Amino acid sequence: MASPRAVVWLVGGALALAALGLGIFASARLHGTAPAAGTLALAIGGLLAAGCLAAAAAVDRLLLAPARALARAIEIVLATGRREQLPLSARHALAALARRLDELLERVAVAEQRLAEERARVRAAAEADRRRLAAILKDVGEGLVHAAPDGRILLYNDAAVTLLGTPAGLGLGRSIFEVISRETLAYHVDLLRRTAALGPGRAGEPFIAAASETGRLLRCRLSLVGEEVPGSEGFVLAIAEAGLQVTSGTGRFLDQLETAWRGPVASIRAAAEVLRDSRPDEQSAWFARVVEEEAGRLEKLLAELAGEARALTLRQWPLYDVASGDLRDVLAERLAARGVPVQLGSEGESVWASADCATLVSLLASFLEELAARGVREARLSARARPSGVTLRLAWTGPVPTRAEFDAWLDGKLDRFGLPFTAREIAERHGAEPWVAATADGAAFHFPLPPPTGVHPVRVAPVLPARPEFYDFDLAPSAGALEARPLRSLTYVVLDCETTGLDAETDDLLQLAAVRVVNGRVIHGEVFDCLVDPGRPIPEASIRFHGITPEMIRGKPPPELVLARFARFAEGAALVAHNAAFDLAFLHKYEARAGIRLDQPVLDTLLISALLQDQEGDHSLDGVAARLGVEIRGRHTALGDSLATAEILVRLIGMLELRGIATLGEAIRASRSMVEIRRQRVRPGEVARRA
Amino acid sequence: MAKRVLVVDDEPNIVLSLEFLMRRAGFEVQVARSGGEALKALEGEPPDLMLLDVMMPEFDGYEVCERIRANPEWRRTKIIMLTARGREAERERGLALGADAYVTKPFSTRELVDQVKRMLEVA
Repeated sequence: MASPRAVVWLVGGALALAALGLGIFASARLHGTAPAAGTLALAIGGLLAAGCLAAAAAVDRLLLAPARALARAIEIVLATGRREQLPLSARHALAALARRLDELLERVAVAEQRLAEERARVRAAAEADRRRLAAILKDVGEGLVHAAPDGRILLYNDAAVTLLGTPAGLGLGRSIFEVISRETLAYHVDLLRRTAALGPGRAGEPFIAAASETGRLLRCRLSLVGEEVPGSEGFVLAIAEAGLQVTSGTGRFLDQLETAWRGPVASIRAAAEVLRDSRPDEQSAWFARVVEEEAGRLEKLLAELAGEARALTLRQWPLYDVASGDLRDVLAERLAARGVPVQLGSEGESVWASADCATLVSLLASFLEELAARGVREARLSARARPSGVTLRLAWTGPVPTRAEFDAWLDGKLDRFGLPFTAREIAERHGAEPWVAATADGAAFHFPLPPPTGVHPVRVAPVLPARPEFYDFDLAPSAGALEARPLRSLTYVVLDCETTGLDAETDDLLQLAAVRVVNGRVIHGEVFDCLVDPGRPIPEASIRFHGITPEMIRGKPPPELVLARFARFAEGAALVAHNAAFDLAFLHKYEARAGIRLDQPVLDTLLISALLQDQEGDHSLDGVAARLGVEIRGRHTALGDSLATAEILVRLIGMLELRGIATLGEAIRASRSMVEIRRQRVRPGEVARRA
Repeated sequence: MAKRVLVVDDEPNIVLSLEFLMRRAGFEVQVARSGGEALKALEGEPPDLMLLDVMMPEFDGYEVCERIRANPEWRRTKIIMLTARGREAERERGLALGADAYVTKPFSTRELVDQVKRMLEVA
């Protein structure tokens, strides 16, 4: 659509042309008969044309230009709440309107002031409540994390930060599934939701999960919160130290101990029996019996000890009764969710056993992934009761892994499942060692489990149709999904880099800082601020810009390590920077070495400012900050600049919404249109300030 | 002709007793001190029965058992696994891999001899 300004000039210009044309036409017609009249007509035409142009200019200057200025000023007032002096020059047609508008704004400002005071009072009261709650949570030794139905973290306490050991990953709006064994937690949330749907008041059973960052084992307990639809409630996760450090390897140690004593005792007993049977004299027979009896006592004693020790290791790790049929269902769902192309059938009756189901399912899924890689497409799960337990059997048709291959799998960590232990360790917690035996047409994997305790939980009912969203957690929030979301609902990570110079190809990162913006609020408590040792000298000339001296970066981590940490901090958030192309060029440079990819959408506050405000104006960080009333504390420190950029972002989001730009995707597309325009007139100063 | 028994164990003291017991029971006895030696002993004329220890260096009794059962020529050889592992699940493992019987150490020598005789039908 043409702007009013274009329309005015178009109409003015057309009328001027018409008048001029008419004058020339009349003058040509009258040239022969009345030359004087012709000249007069030409003059009148010329005057009329000039008049038309003058009228257009007057409309533009007196009406349209002040209208634009007024609109811009009001836009700033609306977005920032700052009382802006309107352009009140008397020399335009809207002067009276501007004066009335000014009075109106004055009244609005007063009203808003009152409103703001009222709001501040309410907020202060809420804040006091929140502080009381925080104080209570602080004194709770257990770590507590409250998450929304989709796993976004709404609240956490200090103990949770300590236990999870991941200040970078734990943050409001981040996914709880990023900081703790994803599949284990997802399994238990799902289990609790399903059983809660069958009857109210069911508390979750404790289970063991690992902190993603440190691999520390945690004893967890879940409870559902909220009045939402059953099956999609939010939840509170209580975590404590599992105290299981001794467990790992204990099983193997007991095994060795048992093997160690059984051999010698067997030799003693066999030798004594042989001696007794070989018709010795009376005295020798007597002593042979002593050896035999004592060997028997030793055997009994050691067997009892071994049994007790084994029961003790089993008790350390919470195992619950599970039916093999349910295990098959959960495993089949897990395979589907992970895209493992193996059809899982079942054989025989469902049998109850005792297991850490979440971990066991991960172990079986990992084994089936190995089989799938060898072309196996179909497997069958069954279970058979033994005198003192149950053996799970997973049979397939096709290749049989060698003993060495199987042992390698047993001793490999199940990292891909968020579990910091090996399949062998998981087996030890179930008190046995799995094995593979060849069958007529393939092979079968056997996993011995302890017998059921008899306290059966409510049967896991995999029939609830509503698939909770968290089965999609494997798909990191894709850029596409973020772009469709409203600007205000997103989590942003606003960053700023200090570098040794301006050229990303030859210069390096010295400092990276960032702050989170959640729900339109700058979260000052969730910042990322790291100095970097780029492994090269800092150019003397650059120090006056960033103030980072060689002493400051001594012993600091290299860029790729900082970037890897940052990637965790920024996971799931849109990235924001002022003149983002500059910062991103530096970050992308280390991606390969850090083994990560920053592929989330990026917003540039410089481009948005240019889009919303006068394109010609000053869009440096200082310029934009001054215009939007943002004070920069610590200019040219990465953290100071990123905090200022975050405040600017919050104000710009308000202005974008006024323009009808509601989603991230729309904002990115709109600011892209600015790129070309800016490219033609990037002023050196604007880039140079970054150094 | 006397039936032949192969004793496979890396602990010399138990081998001593087993060898003595089997000879006294009227069997021809051969001894192997590792999984590798056991497989070598099977070449040529395989024994009628093996007393096979599970815990051995090189490769263990389970693997020896698996290899024997993978070769049709050795199908006739009966296998009694002897193990120092107390876990009940291990019995199932031994039998699944093709052992005919599974005996946990320490054992009654008389019962073992009776079992060998039963399996070789010489009782």
